[in-house]
Amino acid sequence: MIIDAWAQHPTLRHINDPIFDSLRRWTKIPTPTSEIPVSMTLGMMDSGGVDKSLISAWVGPGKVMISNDEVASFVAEAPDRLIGVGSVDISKPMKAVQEIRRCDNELGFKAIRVLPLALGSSANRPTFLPCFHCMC
Amino acid sequence: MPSEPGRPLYLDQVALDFPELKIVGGHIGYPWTEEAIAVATKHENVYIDTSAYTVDRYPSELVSFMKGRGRTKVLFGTNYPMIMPQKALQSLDSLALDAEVSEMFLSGNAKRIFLCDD
Repeated sequence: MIIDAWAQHPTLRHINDPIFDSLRRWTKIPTPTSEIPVSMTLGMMDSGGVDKSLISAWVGPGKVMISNDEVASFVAEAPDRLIGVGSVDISKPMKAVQEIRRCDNELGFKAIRVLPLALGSSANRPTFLPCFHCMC
Repeated sequence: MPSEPGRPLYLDQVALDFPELKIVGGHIGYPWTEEAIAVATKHENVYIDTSAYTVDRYPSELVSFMKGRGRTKVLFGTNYPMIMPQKALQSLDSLALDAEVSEMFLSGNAKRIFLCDD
């Protein structure tokens, strides 16, 4: 069995975001113009022999590239293949904690992906402590 | 944005404060690969995933770690859609992983960390 520990089923907002401009230039990923069906991601997994992928949301300050609800809907299309990973704006710890709990209790996610670097911050910033505590 | 805040060493304090929290450091931790290995070695609750790298680009120190004392610590990842799974795994045979290491790396460690409820 092969499990992919870090993946995204992309939305157009995600794949076309300017933060990935240099990545798109480097990897020469073509720019899609319509939303990508989950079946395409499953097909790519099949081509690589990947049985399951942990697909993450992508939420940052003022920006929701892939929402937790979108991830839940993608997982619902293939729950035997896709596993949800939540994302929260860790710069707003109290709201983030509520959303982490929702990801766990309501959406059935198995992990939370935290990107302190996206805030220009290191992981050991005190603001993040409530989130880490909640995730234990 | 600057890369320095992404250094694996910053996970050291998080892991000390929250030993109950399972922490997976993404994208290998390059160019601080040895640092990522050090933090994953020191802390029972810290792991490394290989997302954003094709197998042929894994640093040799990570491969040595995976084959030896880090066999329960490294998880396969792609960062799809940045890298397609087929491309990520193209050179897998070149790592010459034994059956036990291969199983742990490709799925066993992820199953234990994400899919087993404590």
